[in-house]
Formats: sequence, structure tokens, C-alpha cells
Amino acid sequence: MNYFLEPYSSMLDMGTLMAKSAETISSLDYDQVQVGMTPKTRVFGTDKVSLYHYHPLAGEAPRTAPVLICYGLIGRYTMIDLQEDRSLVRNLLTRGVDLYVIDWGNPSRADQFLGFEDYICHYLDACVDFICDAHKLNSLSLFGICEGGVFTSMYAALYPEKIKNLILSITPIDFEADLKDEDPSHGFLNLWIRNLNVEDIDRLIAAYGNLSGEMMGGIFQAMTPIKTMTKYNLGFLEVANDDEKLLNFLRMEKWLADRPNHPGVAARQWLVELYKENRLVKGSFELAGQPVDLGKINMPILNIYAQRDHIIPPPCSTALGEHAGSTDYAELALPGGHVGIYVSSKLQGMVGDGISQWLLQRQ
Amino acid sequence: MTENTFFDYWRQHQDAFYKHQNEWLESWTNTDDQVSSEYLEISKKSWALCEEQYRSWMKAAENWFDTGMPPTGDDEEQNASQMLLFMLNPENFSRFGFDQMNSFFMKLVNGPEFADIGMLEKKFLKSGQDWLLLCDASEEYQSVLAAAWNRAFKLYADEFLEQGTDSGVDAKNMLQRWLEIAESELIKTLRSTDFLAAQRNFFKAATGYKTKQQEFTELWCETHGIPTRSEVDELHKIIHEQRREIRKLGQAIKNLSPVPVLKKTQAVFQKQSRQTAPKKSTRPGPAKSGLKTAKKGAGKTGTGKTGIRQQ
Repeated sequence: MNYFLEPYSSMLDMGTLMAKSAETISSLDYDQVQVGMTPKTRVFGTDKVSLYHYHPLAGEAPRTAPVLICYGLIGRYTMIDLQEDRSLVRNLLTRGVDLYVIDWGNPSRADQFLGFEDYICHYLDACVDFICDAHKLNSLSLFGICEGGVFTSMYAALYPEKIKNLILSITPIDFEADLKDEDPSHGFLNLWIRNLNVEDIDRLIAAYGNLSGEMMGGIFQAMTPIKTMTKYNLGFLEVANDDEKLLNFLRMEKWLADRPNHPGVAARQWLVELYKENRLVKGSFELAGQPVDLGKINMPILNIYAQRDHIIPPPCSTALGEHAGSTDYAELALPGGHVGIYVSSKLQGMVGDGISQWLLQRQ
Repeated sequence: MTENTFFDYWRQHQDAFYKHQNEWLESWTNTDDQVSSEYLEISKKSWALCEEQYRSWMKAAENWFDTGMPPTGDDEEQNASQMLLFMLNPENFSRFGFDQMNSFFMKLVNGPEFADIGMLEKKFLKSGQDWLLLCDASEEYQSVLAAAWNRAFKLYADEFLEQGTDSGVDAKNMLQRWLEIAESELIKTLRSTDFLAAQRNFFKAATGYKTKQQEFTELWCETHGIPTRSEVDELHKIIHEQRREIRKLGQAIKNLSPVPVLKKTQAVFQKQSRQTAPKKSTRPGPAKSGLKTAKKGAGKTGTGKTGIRQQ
């Protein structure tokens, strides 16, 4: 009987689902779709950059020294605080971590001349100094995510005395290590950027001033063609008749759409000097006139990576173990994708536990 | 029949499936099965609804494929046919998945058109060599993608033709299998020499055209006494360099030994710049990290409760 009924009952189910979806969507209020809502206060700012201090959650006094979260310029930090039950920020606050986060703002064409030196040696340094002064400390813990991990690694190499602990997540260090990843769906960013001539990249940045956030969004979508194709039909129907799931979906969409432009000079360094020339592991990437030497990263390091990361293939991240000078180096491999390790409901506790326990052992 | 072979193939499959189910239902209801007549009645009604919906979808989708326009009808019907369009029209496959780059560049190079401002120049530009190069490059890029979808479809069609429709067709499995085959073929294509060459040429052509467009716009602005993009960029560069200079000076002032004459200047500067750059703390040398007591020379020690692997 089930065999007989299944095919056409599923078709009817789909029709019902569509009707229900339309009803759910029409009942939604746009204001309900909010991200990055954990309470925080802006404590410092310079140019377009803001430094926020998260409020401790009720009844949870900080048990660690301050930790500064540094996201990259591709995408925004709100990914780690998508919603109440999928928030690394909340997970860490719950576990007594004292948290700060940098918001780079929305760079426009007027910011096209900002480079890594500005972001690392000035903005990041100013935030670190502010926190250290406020807490009367000599050093703090830095937590870099994705391109922010590259910023923090470089900072830790230049100013090791200011960093107590270094936590990195989904961070590329060796930009050619994608060649060691056997999964054919991993590493398209590496492959495609290597495929371009330097003069084409220069011309692209010169033509648009910045590396457009919209364009980066398109490239990310292009890496997963089937997922992109089915997202707004099959994928959407799966969530559309459930208020909570639909809100999760829309919050994620909101985060994806909120993609700032990457300042031109920094974009050229990112694409040419790092992705194409792989200067970081070669020791030839320069900041403020001096080469960045990963060997000088001598503080404890926790390197978190996603085993199914198609954007930053795992070998690109784990390469840090070979290059860093620290004798206290640990890795946390998570069974998820690039963003999934932060937004997946299944992995919420794992990341929070991993970081907080590692930190508490090193206070 | 429509002009879309993929859609026609899929529809034939669906027709065969429904015909098969219908015949089976009739033969089944005519037997002395112990299923209650009430239940059979519900099943027949459901089946009739299902068939009606299927016919409605097919009609809408067929109309769409033939005319290239969305069908008229209620929302539900349109949603259903939109879904079919997404799933079955190879022409649209290439637009979903990895054509975002094409859309991005085309949107930017075409740009907004405000009445007739600069239209003459724009038309002139579009008649030029760079525009033709961009069109060729875009077409080459699209054709590599289209070829990938065609290969995927051939693999899919071959697999199902080999199995035959009599073995029972499960729509969910069919779709799942199609997505798997397409994913595999597309991933392969994204790494292929053809794709990489097309992508590189497209990038080059798009930025080449954009650059030429900017040169024309600069000329137009200059002719009409409007500040050009490069002049604005130049100003931004000057401001950026000035900011760097100020930062360096601020740093230099902070690093100076406390000479009485400079003290006042330093104090004033710090007061003014407090919002833009915090005072550097004079911290002692290397941080008192746990490095000395850390696991010096420790090898891999396995994975703990948190999954952390110490190395």
C-alpha cells in the first residue's frame, strides 16, 4: 500500500508544502531576521573600524583574560553570532571567556589604498593596545578567523610579546597546500586565482578600486554549483514551512548578502602576494618594511580547521604546524565545512568547549 | 513536444510512470483485495488530484519552455513550474551554479542608463573591439558550462535508459541521482583546462572592457567639467598617505624622550587623538607567556575530550 501511495502522495505533499511556505513567508516580519544580536558595547574606534566588548551573560563572570576576535575582510564577523542557539560568541561567554571583536566596517572606494600594513600594524595593533591598557595587561589572546587568521598570524609574528595565546580558525597559511587535498571539490579559490595573470588581477582591482563583495559572493556560489542551483527551490522548500528553520535560513542569507568590499591594495596583497606567490610560508611577505617570519610565533597556538572546508582546504591551514616557532601547538579538526563549523547546530558545543578548555589551561 | 529535449525526455518518463501507476491502480482495485472500499475511494481521489496537478505543471512548464516566459496562472502553479524550470532546463543550468561571475561583469559593464547621458559614447564603445572581445569571451565561458551540463545529462539519460522505466521510478531517487551526476561532472569541469582558459579570457575581456569604458567616461567628464574618477582616486590616495604620515608622527612623538618643550605638544596630541589611536602602553619586553613551561618538544599526544590534538 505504501509503495503504491508514496509517489503521488509525495507530489501532493509538495503542493501543500508550497502553499504552507507561502503562508509562512507572508507572515514573517523582516525585523525578525537579525544577526549579531548578542549584547555588546563599542569601546573604541578609529576610521571605519570599531572595537566591541561583549557583555558577560547573566551570572557568568569572565574566567579568562580578554580574547580579541579578528575576522577577515571577506564577509563579516556576525557569522560567529548568527542567532542565539547558533552563536560561538554566546558559547564562549557562557563558558566564561571575556570577548572583544573587531568590526572592520564597510570599506568603500575611498578606502581602496588600505593595505595589510594598515589593518595589521595600525588598526589591529590599536585595538590590542586599547584592550591591554583597559585591563592593565601586557598581552592578550587573539582569535583570528579565515583572513582574520592571516592578520592575527602576521601580527603574532611581528609582535609576539603582545600575544599570550593565538587561536586560529579556518585560516590559510600555505596557499599552495590545496594541491595536497585529494577532494576535487576543495580549493577552487586557490586554483582559480593561480589561473589568473598578475596583470589581470591588477587591472581588475584598478578597474573597480576594490575587490567587490558582490563578485566574491558570486565566486563562492560558483564553487558549489549544485548547491547553488537547488538552494532556492529544493533547499528552500525543506525549511519554508517551519518558522524556526525558515528564520535560520533567512539569517544565513542575510549574512551571505552582507559582504563588504575588500580594499584594493589589501586585495592585491591577498590575491597576488599570498594566493599566487605564497609569500607567507616563503618568508617573503613584508609588513612595515620587514619580512613576516612565522617562526617568531612562539606563543601557544590552537589551530582549528574544518575537515570539509572547500574554501580553505585543511592542508592550507595545518601547514602552520610546520612553520610556527611555538612549542605548544595544537589542532582541533571539526567535521564540517568552512562556515558550517560555526553555524551548524551539531557543532555548537564542540567549538565552544574546545576553545574555552584550551584557553583555561593557558591562563 | 517542446524545443527542450531534456524537458521532453523527462516528461516522457513521467507520462510512462503515471500510465504505469494508473494501470496498476485499476487492476488492483478490480481485484478482491481486502482493502476497504472507503480507503480505495480516498486513494482514487488522491490519485486524480495528483494527476491533475501533474498535468497542470506540465502544461505550465511546456508553455514556459516554448515561449521563454513565465506561465500565467495562480501562484502555486507558477511556483511549481518555476521549480521544474530550475531543475530541467539546461539553458538555465548554466545560469545557476557558476554563472554569477558573468552576471556580475555584465551588470557592471552595462551599468545604469540615465536617460540619454553618455548614450552616444556608450553606443560607440559597444561597437568597439573590446565589447566584441567581451561578448566572445562570455560566449566561450557559457559554452564550456553548457557542454558540462550536456555531458551530465547524457550520463544521466544513459543510466536511466539502461534501467528502463519498468523497474519502478522513484521521483526522489531520480532527482537525487541527477544531482549527484551533475555535481560530479561540474566539479570535474571547474578544474578542466577548457574551463580555466575560458575563465581567464573572460576575466581579461571583462576588465579590458571596463577599463576602456572608464577611459571614455573620464574623457566625457573632462569635456563636461566634471571631476573624473582618477582625480577622486588621487584625492583619496593623498588623504590615505597623509593619515599614514600623521600616524608616524604620532608614534615618533610618543617615542621621544620627555623633553619639557615637547611635553605640551605630546599631551595635546594625545588628547586629540585619543579617539583615533590609543596610547601605547610601555610594557616590559617579551610577554610572560606559559611558553617556558609549555610542552616543549612534545610530540603528538592524541586527541582529548575536546578533540584537540596536541602536537
